Amino acid sequence: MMGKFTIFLALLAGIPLWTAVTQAVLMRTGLKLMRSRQMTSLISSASLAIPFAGLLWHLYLGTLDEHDRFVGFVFTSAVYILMSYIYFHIFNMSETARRIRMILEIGQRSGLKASELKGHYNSIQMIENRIERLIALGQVEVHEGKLFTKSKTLYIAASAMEWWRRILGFPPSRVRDQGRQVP
Amino acid sequence: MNQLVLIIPVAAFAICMVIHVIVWRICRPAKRVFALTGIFILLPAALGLSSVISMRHGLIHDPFSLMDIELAAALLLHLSLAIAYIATYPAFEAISPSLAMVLAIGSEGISHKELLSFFCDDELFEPRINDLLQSSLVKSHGEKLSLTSGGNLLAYSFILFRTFLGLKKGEG
Repeated sequence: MMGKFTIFLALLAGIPLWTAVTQAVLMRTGLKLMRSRQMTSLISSASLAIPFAGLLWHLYLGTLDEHDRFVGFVFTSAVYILMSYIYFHIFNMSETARRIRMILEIGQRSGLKASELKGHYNSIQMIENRIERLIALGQVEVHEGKLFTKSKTLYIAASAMEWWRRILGFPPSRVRDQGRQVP
Repeated sequence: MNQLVLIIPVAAFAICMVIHVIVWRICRPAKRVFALTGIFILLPAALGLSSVISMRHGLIHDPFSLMDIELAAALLLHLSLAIAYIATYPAFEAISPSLAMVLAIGSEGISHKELLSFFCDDELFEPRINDLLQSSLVKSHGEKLSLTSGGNLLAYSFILFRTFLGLKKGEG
């Protein structure tokens, strides 16, 4: 029993790794054609969830009594969701984070002047890339040349982040929306 | 499964969060990710380890009577919460342009041109490069920037990761 519980924990701790393996396989079997690569990461986590749930049930959760099984289910779900979120975050950083891209560019050129690096960062191109991604993710839509939010998910996340920034003592963010301050 | 495996890490995470808010409001550390690692991972790990050793040697009373493997499960949940928060933290500090764009678009909508006018090159570039310098991932010699050993390690890790996934480097 103890041995099985140890394997159960090791499997849960390795979720980012198993998700990466799943995504690597899926990316080589057609998922690469998807417009949103972030979506491929989410699909990989979701695809892994079903066989993983079966394996964890067989290994440990199925052997517990009703009360312990409920606690075990909450524990397993919480760790699975958090680990999947961590993986998504790492993938998203590799995909879109400018800090990571800057590090890669400085590394590839064995040193770079700050002004040269800045020249590679055109705000218009970056914003255009992001508009495309937001449309592909179903968060934003275009009507008669105007952009509208299609889903409230990211809007709620952004508002929550701004609220937490203020709790931590940061000043309001600087992007302006028709005269009022928004992040 | 003992329900303390859920309660202990959530309580520990909440205490770490309170310490984090107090420290940030009093004096925000320069190397924030290191400070967060200290508050959310090293501090609870040190306190937890010393408590377990003291309880095993009978120096203090063990109120929970958890087995080692259950403590490992509690540690896994705490680490998951802590790493998820630390991974999200940079987005609080330099709010992601994607999120800022969603807020700027709001419910009323906005034209493409107006949205572009909210962002300038300096706003998108300078906070990031300053963050890399403060985090000791990049060093500067006059105007020239180069990677530190930590920066090199991070660069190779991401190149390896994306090669493993069959992808080119990110578009930023």
